[in-house]
Amino acid sequence: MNGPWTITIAPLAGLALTVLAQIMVVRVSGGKVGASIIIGMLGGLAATLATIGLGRAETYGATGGFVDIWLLGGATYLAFAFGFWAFLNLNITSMRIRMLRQLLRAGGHMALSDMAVSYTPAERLRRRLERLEKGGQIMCEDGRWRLRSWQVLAVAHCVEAWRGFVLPCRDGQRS
Amino acid sequence: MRLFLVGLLLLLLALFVHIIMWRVRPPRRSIRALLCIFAATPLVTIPIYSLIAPLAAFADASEAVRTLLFYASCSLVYVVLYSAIESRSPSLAIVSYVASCGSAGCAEADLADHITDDEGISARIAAMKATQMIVVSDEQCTLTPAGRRWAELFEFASAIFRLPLGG
Repeated sequence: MNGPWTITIAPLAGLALTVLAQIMVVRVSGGKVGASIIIGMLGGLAATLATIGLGRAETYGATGGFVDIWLLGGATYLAFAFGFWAFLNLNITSMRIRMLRQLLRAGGHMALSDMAVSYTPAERLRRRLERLEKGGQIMCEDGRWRLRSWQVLAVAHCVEAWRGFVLPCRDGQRS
Repeated sequence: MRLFLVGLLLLLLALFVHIIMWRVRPPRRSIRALLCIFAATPLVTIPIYSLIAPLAAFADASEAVRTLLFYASCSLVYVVLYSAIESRSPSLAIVSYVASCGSAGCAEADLADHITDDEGISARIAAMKATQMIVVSDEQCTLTPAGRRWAELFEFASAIFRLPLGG
């Protein structure tokens, strides 16, 4: 493969390595999903940059500037890696996916009353609080929840601002 | 810099169309509409640009593919983020509420009062019925063949990536 094409496929190679690294690390670490995702992403970024370097070496002096090679490749990889993280996160947080999986585990059928018992508002809130506490975003001291980290709060503010900008303020869609 | 700018301009153009459309009249099937906008933008603009511009935007096919990969990956990021923009995420709402309570913090009962999940269990069941993932009869919920395939896919992904049963 020649240099320009090596540079072009670098983010895809990085993504492939991210997936493989996550699978390997989560097994070796005994199920540490968060750590495996971070290690996978860092490994994928390194693979992307190494592949770009390889492509650059193959076409020394003939390929464009820093931005069109390193920044474009790096940004493309990070966007793909975000997509992979979102897919994993969806599997962990989505209520509908949980319901589909529980139905499958129950042989494909479940009574509506059993489903309602499994997903009470209190149960959903408890699971979310547990996830946020485990992720280091909030903490519980003396029975009171407090903010521990500002990152998710910053995301919440950005999402709120963009929602206000994009969605028209009507029919209670925005609250 | 040229390829990066082409990709960025395509993204800004797609976002501009998206914002105008949403402010005028938000589509009912928003994710599908977003995907259509992001897919149509390069399909429409690149041929028009190559007709009117004296110089081609890309020197060779690898440059075109590199730019489109950048555009496609960033578009997908936005589509993923949009789902959190469209329907308020309960986790983000919890963090916002806890932050608003300051150093005094809040009790779980306060959170339960303030954080309401817009999509309760019945709304989720209705949505899965509408997308033909499940059928409900005689108070029994049953997976459709399509729902079973999706459930098997998510079970497979969870086994491969060792993901806990979430929700």
